[in-house]
Amino acid sequence: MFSTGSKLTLGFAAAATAGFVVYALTQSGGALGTAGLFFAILALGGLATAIIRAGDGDVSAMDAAAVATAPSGAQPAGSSMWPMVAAIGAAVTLVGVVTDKRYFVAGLAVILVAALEWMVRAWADRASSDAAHNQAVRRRLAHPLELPLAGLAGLAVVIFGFSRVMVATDKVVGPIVFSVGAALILGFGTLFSVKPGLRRSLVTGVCALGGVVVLAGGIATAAVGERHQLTEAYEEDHFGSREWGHRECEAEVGESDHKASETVALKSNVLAEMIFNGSTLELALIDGEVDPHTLTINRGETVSVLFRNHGQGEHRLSVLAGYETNESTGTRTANHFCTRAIPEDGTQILTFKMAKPTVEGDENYTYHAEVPGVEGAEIEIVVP
Amino acid sequence: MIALPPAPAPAPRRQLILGTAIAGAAASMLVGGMLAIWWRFREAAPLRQGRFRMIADWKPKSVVIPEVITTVLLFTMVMACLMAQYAVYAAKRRDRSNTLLGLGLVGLVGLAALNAQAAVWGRIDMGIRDGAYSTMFFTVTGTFFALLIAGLVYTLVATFRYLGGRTAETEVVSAHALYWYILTAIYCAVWFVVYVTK
Repeated sequence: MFSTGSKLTLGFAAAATAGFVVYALTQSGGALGTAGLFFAILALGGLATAIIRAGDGDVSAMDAAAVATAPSGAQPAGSSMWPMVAAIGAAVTLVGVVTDKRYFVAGLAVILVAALEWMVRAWADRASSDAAHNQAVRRRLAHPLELPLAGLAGLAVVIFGFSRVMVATDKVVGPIVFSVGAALILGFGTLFSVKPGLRRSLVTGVCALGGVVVLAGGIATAAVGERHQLTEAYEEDHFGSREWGHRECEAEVGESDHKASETVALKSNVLAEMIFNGSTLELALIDGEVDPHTLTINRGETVSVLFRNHGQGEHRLSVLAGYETNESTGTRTANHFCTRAIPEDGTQILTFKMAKPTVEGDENYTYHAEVPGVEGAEIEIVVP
Repeated sequence: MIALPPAPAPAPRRQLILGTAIAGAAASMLVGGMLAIWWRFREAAPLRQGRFRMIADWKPKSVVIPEVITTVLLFTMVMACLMAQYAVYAAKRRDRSNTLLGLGLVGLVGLAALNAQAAVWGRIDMGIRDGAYSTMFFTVTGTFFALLIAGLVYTLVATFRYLGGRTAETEVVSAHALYWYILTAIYCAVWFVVYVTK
């Protein structure tokens, strides 16, 4: 009944039990040693039970079915790169935990793909004693998954490489690069279709070369970085699409005001018009005029107003939506919504939302619309 | 020339069962060691007045353990064991569809267990760096979470092999059930120490 393996583990379990009793008695039931030895007894006892149940893992020679199906009697699995790929994925995942979420996700994806490939490979390797047949079995099962994924990965590489080239090149050179690239693809595509007799290796070589050129170009231009207009636009965030954005709400006309839209769709649902006549800002409510100097807006409601510039030169409308104080640094920043600077007789729409109500006498919660740089061109905004 | 006779084939062994048992013993000792350290910290914590008696000031007062979820997770693990054993029962009778049903249910219940553990983390208002208790809490439960993921991978592999036509190889199904038994035993210990006695 007691095989060699079970005797060993039972002996360890007995030693752990003796240690547990001695430790508990001499150390007044110290938690660390008592609990540790208790779990050792459980683990070794469980292991001994499994070993006794499995008879040291030996398969009886009389059990023909077990002899035929025991893993150790099967064809050994061939060498595979997937365990290594899985290990790399695990390393990338761990790096991602402490650096960047994208590495974490990429690492998990690598582990998943490696695990699937490893599983299929190990399964196919034991399909028969014929390696060629096993390979065919693996291909039949794995290719429907592998080929679309490989195609997607290749496409992603081409898109990524080409996008890096396009964002790095000058805005004048970009269209030329794009046109030349498209012409080359069209030319080679046409050649391959009208000359179906071309050597397959030649076609593969040309496609691979194109991919390598795009990828190498992408890596090289990624190292150089995006062209300065894009980096500046990202850093400044002129249109305030991100929280840390810096909207250009001052009187000066900046680069982001270049070619500003001056038309507004007829179906735009505007609350009011704000007309700048060169010296003052006038309010015209669409839904009946109440007070030409005060605009009332419901708290939390997203509203749109039209700004018409009838003054000379370029002007913008700016809505001051109170101030915010950073508690850790003590710095106070103004919340602005503003249009781009538009020329005379231009029109722009401004959509904004007031999150907090007006507090009489508190500058942080008093709001108004103004034309920056023009003294007195101001309309009060009240949020009840 | 007289050729020597070929060497006899190696004696077949139940490697999967023994491998799983050894891995299970290692996992049990890993979690057991952590729980021993947990107890050590708890024992060393200063005392404070509880509702009825003096208690160890180990778990921060503001931390509330979602005991319903943790107990549901315990029953979920027991269900996983039942389903794994059902798969073994069916596999030994060459009942392919019921074996796959059992393995599939283990996978489903395992995903539910993962979800329950994630829900515990979501409900408990505590950061991993908030102190010794929170660090130990996330270390122990995170280790169990990792073991649970390994169990799901085991289920996936066993299901794949069975789906792939290896219906005669019942050893992988038995070893898979053994792993889930070990996992449930580990969770019982975690549940009692971390979630009940706290």
